[in-house]
Amino acid sequence: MHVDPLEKKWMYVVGFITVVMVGSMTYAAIKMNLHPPSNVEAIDPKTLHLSGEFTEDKLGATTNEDGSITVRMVAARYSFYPQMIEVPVDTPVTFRITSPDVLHGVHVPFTNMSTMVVPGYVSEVTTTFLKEGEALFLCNEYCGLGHDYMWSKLKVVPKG
Amino acid sequence: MGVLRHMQSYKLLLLFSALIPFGLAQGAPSSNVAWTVETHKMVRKGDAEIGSKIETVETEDVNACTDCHGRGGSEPDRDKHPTLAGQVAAYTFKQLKDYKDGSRENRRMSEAVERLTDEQLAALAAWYAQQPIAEVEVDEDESVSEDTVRLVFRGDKKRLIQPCASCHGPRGEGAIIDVPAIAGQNVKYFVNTMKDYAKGKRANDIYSRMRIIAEALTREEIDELAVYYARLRNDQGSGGPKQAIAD
Amino acid sequence: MYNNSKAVAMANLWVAFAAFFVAIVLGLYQVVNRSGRFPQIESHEMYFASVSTHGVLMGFVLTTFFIMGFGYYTANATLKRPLWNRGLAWVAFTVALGGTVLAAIPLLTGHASVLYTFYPPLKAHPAFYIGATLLVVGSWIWCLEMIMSTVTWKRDNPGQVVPLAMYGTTANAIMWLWTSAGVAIEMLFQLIPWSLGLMDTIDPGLARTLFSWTLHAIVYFWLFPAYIAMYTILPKVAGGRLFSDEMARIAFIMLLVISVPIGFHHLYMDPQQSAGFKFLHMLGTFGVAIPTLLTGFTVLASLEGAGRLRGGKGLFGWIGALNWKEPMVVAGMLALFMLIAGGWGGMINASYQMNTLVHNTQWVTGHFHLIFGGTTVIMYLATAYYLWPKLTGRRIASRSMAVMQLWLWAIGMLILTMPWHVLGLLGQPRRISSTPYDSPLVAQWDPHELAMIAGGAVLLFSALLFVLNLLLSHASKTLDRVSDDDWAVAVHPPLSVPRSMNGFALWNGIVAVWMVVAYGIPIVQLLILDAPGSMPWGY
Repeated sequence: MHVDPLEKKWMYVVGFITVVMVGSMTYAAIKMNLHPPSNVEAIDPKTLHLSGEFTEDKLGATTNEDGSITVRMVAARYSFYPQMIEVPVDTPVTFRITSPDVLHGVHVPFTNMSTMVVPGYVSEVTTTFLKEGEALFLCNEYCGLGHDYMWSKLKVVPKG
Repeated sequence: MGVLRHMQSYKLLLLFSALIPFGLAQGAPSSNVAWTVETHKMVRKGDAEIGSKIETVETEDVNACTDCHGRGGSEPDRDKHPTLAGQVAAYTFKQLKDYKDGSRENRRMSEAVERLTDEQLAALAAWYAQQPIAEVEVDEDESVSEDTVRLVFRGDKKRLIQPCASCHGPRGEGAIIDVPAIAGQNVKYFVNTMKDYAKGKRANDIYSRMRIIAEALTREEIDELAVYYARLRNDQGSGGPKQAIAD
Repeated sequence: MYNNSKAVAMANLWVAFAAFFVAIVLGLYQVVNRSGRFPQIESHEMYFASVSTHGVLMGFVLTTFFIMGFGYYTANATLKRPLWNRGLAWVAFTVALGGTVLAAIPLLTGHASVLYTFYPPLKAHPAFYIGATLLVVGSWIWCLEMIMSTVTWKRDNPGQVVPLAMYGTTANAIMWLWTSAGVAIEMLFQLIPWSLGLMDTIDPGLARTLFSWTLHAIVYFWLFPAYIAMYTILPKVAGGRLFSDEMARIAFIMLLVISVPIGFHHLYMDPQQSAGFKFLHMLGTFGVAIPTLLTGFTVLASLEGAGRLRGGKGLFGWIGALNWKEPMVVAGMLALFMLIAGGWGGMINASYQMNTLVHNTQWVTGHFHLIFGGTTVIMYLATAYYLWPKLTGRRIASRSMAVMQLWLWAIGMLILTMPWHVLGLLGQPRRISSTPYDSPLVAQWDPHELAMIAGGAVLLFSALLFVLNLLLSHASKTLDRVSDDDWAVAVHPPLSVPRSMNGFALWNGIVAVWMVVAYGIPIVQLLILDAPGSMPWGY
């Protein structure tokens, strides 16, 4: 099979680009522990409010023993509950979110707080907010005719 | 030794009393109705014919449903009682269940449904769902401002209020699974319900979703929304209000 | 003569372009609606019915019917024999068209506003799911037609090299069979029984996983004919030769093998799959960039050769020397340009970590409009101009209008998609019909929305010119001679190729094994996890 020498050079360039990109992602995954949300946990969407982790009184931000924060939320048409979440800056925050109805997505723009919310599963994302101020939780997956209006507030406050 | 033991039990008592408010905060869910497959199927199979018979049954300590809500739930005493006709069956069932176990408080309603089985509640719900909604009396002078119509279709972003229409439907017709129809509801009942949600007196909406909204609305807005939705049923026969509105 | 598929090819192509035109009108409506500048027309019901219809028409109807029509012509013209079974080709057309009409009714009446991705537990009318399934089944019959045409030709021409265009078309058909299985399983075992009430609940996590099986490679199903045109038509039309036949085959093979087992990059943010399999799919996703990069080189090199043959000198002189009056040349160059921009954006989406910042933002929508609406569709349009004379025996009504239309298409697409990418970086979520958020971000989004309206308007105008040109071409001057031999010749035409580059047995085996690992295991894990399912919800 005949391969033009210039084409061969290009194949090396392509190989190099691929190796650099895959290598940097592998490094970031293994050494820096950066992964997309990967907690797989099933839950019954039909009985969330009755018992378990997502009953009404358990929602919101709680401080764990090691100082990190866990925020439990429910994404249900058409808001995120609780509608106002307050977390400290520069502190690891773990969000645990689920849905009693349909697919939702949640994203805080300009941060890596982003996850799908799939009924039947608990989504878990851990992140650290670096900037103080008000931000938005935006629903970014079509969840019905009111999808546009599905959003809630996040306040990042100084520590302590 | 005796003193020490006495102090130990005193500490225990303190610990216990500290836990009590925590225990209260744990609280029961706002409603025990969950839309499992079984519950859903039972409501779907509700026998409307049986429901039509149950609503006229009167015992010595309990009124018939028709006494307060009218035949078919469409001729209630409009100052106090809701129209039930044409209501989403799953919603009606849930309210009746909530009355039955106290998640929604009302002595007369709790007594009324105390002795009914879940299947009978489903039958009633099916019966009412089939009924045509009667026209609602609304004062001609009552006006509905543009701002209120905007609340219905666009909500209010400053107060994080979603449009009523996004859950209750563009014609106030309700939606799967248990979002109630609010078009054609009595004005006074609508207003009282929203006031009760705002005060927390009515608290069987899961995740407080109606309580949050009702609390954020002003009294004037609630009054106008009640008129808007009462009229919506009346207007639907003649074409109804337009849906798109100027921002 | 042997070309017995002209009518069925033309039928498929017209359905494709009629759907295309309707979808463009809907697209303009959507971008105008979302800008918030025209409150009189705003309606959530209409918007989401429109998005669902637009997506289905562009992503399922335009594409499938175009691919089928182009495939029939290619089979006749390269293999120089009648279709394996012309009756079956009409059956495929009828089933696919019937399915399309069946799905269109609920779509247009607002009973299937569940988007082109039909994510449960939002539930549409069952006719939608059944109609979409029939469309896919029709396409499977086409796949059979393509595969059998090649198989019987090889049997009757032992040891001969399968013509490149047919090799690519057959590769595409095989890849489509592999990938459409995902959505077919979702339809047959989940969506259809569930929407008919035969199943009470559905697991949306499993549904999304099955859909992701189809969701990536379907874009290669669409892209394949564009690459086939770039490799086997463009070089000849440009006046040159194909730089390398073998590299083209290798690109086709790599696309077939690697496109399917990589769908989890659509599920990076999903909670039903875990990091390990997401990482595995990421590796494959970057692998599938390779055939595109190789294609870019081979096609550009072929065009450079053509340019130099026409007298172009210097490092870039060959570009100006190309025949810019030829629609296919214009489309090819513009397609490659948009491929670079869109492909780079795709690499961001494929990135295991960076995807977090763009997932479900308008960046994604901008990306696929650029790469599909831009690179792929512009090649479809140019291929239509190429095919029309061959199928009708008449010249194209206006070559200059065709050239202008293609320029407008690319310009409109760039005006539409560049701001779209920025909107995504500024955080605007997908699938919204308005922007009622209490945030300064909304004001920042505004100018980009306006620019997008301009882009949409240019695209509508361009689409009008396209359809008009094709319609008029049915009544234009007949040609004395129509050749079926306008296929590019390679610089080194292969006298023989290894069996692995003339057939697909080895590659099918590799795909099978890879799919068992990449999809079989995660799906079995989901079935074991048995997450409690969801009942139907309305919208």
